[in-house]
Amino acid sequence: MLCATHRLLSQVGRVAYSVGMMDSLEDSALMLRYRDGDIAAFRILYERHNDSLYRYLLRLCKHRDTAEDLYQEVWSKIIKARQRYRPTAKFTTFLYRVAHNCFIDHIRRNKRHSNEISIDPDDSASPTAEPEQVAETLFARERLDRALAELPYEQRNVVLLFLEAGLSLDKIAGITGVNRETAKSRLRYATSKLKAALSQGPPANKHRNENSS
Amino acid sequence: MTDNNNPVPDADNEALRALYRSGPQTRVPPRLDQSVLRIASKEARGNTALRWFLPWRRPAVFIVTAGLSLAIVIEMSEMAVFERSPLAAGDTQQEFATEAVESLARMRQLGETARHLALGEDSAVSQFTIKTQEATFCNDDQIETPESWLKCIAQLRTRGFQADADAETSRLLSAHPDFTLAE
Repeated sequence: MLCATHRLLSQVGRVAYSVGMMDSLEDSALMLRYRDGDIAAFRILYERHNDSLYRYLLRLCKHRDTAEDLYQEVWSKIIKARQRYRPTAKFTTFLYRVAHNCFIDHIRRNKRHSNEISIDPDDSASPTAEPEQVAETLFARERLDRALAELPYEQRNVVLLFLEAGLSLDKIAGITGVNRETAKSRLRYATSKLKAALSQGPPANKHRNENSS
Repeated sequence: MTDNNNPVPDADNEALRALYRSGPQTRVPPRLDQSVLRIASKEARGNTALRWFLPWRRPAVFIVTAGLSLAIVIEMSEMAVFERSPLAAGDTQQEFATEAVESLARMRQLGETARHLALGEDSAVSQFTIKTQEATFCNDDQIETPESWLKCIAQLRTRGFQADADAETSRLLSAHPDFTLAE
């Protein structure tokens, strides 16, 4: 009885240890483990990137249903490509390149790419922040989101890869298929427009007041 | 998540990034999470189903290769045996031709017997039985000299084995080309 309990505890310990070890593994190592059939490794990898990728697609498409379709398509392609996956580049770069290509394919499939915005605003505030601070942040975020949505697609893509995915210029250039200088120029234009929109302030408040009244 | 190689590492960009990441963030709907994880799990299971075969892959390939090689070797050795067989050997072609002539004569005789049987001549059966029990060729003593061989041929003709006699005659002529048969 004691022996069985000891064996069970050691097994549980080993599983917990391996899961804990996996948390510290690099993305590429997790992908390789998933390639060998380890679903737990994929779960960890997925949880690291799911929200970020979803937000990127949501703000890139500006349409929730399309973003959700593309989101599933991207992950399906990642899953299917696991046998061919080679850790030559960062997994993030690989993931966003697939996402970018899926979006481009989507645009080609649907020439009438709608500019209609159907993104719901984030609906919950940070519980620890002061109400005034929360309101100010919400307004600023609203202005930022609106300014992002008004950017041309190329600039929006570059700035989202920078803000959301945190990628370097070289990687952004590689993902979007342009040279480094073009990517840098697009990023500079985009950030300038966003800063200008944020510094204006009143239109977002005015818009909000109009909606509330 | 953020790269060390920041594209435009100025304070404004950092403030922009901080604002972008501040406050509540949109999260993936749970149904999408479930859908993706279900697909991933299904694919991984498919992978696991074939995983038992992976350790056996190399031995299996080796066994199949060895089997095919063995089959090719056997086939080639059989071909070599055939090439060495009397049918193909040049020095025994004469013997084979003689045997073929004799077999043909026996078959002709068999045909004649069958014809007699079809006509209802019972005596032909017994005659054929007797004839097949007797020697229908000349033995080594009889073919020692052309004269004794010719005598044997004459006996065969007397006994009714015309085809065998003809075969023995051709053997005699091939063995003794200088010998002239009396008309």
